[in-house]
Amino acid sequence: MLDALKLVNRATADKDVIRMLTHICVYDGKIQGADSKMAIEVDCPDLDGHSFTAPAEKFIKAVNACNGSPTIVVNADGTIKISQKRFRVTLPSLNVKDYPRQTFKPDNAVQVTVPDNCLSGLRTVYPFISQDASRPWSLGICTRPGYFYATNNVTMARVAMAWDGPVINLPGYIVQEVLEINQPVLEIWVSDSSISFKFQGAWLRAQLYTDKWPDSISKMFDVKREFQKVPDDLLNAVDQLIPFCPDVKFPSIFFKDGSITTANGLQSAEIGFDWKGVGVYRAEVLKLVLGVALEWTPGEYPKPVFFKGNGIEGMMVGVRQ
Amino acid sequence: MLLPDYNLNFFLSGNMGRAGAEEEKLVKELQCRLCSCHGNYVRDAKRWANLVSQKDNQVRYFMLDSGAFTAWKSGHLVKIDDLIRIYSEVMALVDLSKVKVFLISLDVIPGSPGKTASAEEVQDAIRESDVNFNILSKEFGDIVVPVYHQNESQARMLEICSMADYICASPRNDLPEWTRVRWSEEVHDKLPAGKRTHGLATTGVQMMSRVPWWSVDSAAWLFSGAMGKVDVLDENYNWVSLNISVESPDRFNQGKHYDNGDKNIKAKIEERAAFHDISVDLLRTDHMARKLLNGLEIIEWLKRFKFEPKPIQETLFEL
Repeated sequence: MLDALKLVNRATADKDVIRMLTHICVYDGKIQGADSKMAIEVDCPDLDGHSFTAPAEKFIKAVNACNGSPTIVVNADGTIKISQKRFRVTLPSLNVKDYPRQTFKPDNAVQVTVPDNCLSGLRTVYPFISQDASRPWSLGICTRPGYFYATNNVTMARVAMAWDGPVINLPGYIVQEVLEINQPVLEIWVSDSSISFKFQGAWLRAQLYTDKWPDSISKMFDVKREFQKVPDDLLNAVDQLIPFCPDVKFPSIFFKDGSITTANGLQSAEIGFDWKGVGVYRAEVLKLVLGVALEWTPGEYPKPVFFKGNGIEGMMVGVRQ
Repeated sequence: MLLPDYNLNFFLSGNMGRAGAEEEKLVKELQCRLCSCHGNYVRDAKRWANLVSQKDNQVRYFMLDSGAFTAWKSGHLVKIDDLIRIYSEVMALVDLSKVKVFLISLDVIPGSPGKTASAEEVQDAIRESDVNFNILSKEFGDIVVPVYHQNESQARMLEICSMADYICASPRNDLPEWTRVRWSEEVHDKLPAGKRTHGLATTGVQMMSRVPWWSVDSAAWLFSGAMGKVDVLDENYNWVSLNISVESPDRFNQGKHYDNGDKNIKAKIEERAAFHDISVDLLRTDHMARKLLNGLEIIEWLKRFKFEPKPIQETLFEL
């Protein structure tokens, strides 16, 4: 029961702007939690026959204190009593009929074939999702036939994906939820404004972003390029240099013939490297790309440098001095 | 008097709260002042128009703001005819042979407080803002400054740049500072050559050191003083803030107030107050003294501030 509660609690609201949304709803052997952005429902046979709402955080703490197997009683005054042996907790409850219970999917949703690499693909592309709310469209993954795309405006990545659903902007926080649930996805349903994932004994339904991605993204990958292997120890070398970057707010890594270095400053560092060509990149961007890239096109700097890895391809732009 | 050549034109904005010796002292030190022309603030704008025109000070730039945002927040609308009258009345008090005046255009803010504007409302607001700019420019010439907002397109930025050589750029106040700084850097990277920018509420240290603004403004010096704080410079010209007001609740929080804070910070406040010839007793009891000290310290900071071009992160997409 505790695992089910913890899973549902991912969707309950933290702030009590709408008090009911800080509650879980127990009904028909299921637990549901929801805020204004998503809902999660999990089967919980332990609670079969019960029907009530309870403040999620407190209820979980109470069940946890009972080592996961409490006795639960709904009192005549509507309060919930959770007890085990000499431990007893009474919690307030809101009327279960007032709970805005969500269904798994809206009536107009269409079913999408679950791609084989759905979870692994999402996991690969997730780190490339932007955190910059000034470009709201970039806060999610763009699903298009053939590929899932993510960008933080400095680097963009895509993973091949047999997606037969509509083009949608899947919010980054939903991707994070799906990855943290970490269960095989059994069904996906998409409507104009929502997406629903079915797992074994659980489902998640979420609002989609309405912000559209630029149409140009697929064309940005069109040109054929000559890739070269990324040196095996390059990522290590970058890691070694980063602590010595003089501008901690803007750590940059410089590629020169025969070496890679930090910027010059009060502190600096250099590593001799069997390397030809120039380029300057933000350290954290470079690390992100080198974490997945097996081949790249560094000679294209200062134009976008392309990279390829296991099931992923992308591009990044550098820093201009 | 030889003017120091500051690297950045920092407009002290906001209303100090009362006329008097503090304003007289401040005006002798500053070079840029921004006043709101909304409601009761017009009286202060007129008083400052007289102050900046006095011969014995160094003020070179005087900027007037319509106060459209303040009005919008309280559910009011600034009418263009009223604004023309007020701008004219204030400007009539300025010695234009000594002081260059700039007028921020009357910006139409889409939506209403607490409600996100629809795309249509945003487009309507842009159209109305442009109409206002044209009316004001016809009346006052090339001293009117149009405003470009975060979340407007790159095409809109270029459109604004075609309207004037000096433009305001306004990062969104509801976003984290790093996204505001990044947006401001991108704007300047994509700005046509020869344009100058004024950053609205852009006086964070990273914001000023990373972004090549021609000018910025801030009323933080006033808020800080009004809330009982002083902001002074340490020997490395970094900012140190501490509550000092005898009415501040922090006088009962260990380490949070002049009365119980770090001895070194206390000594630094005393040193800086003495440097500006302001008594610590006054700082403890009078918000005007705190505001004056905060304002004078900004001017001291500006004397040392030197903008150095920074590397620019290229981007994949337009603004």
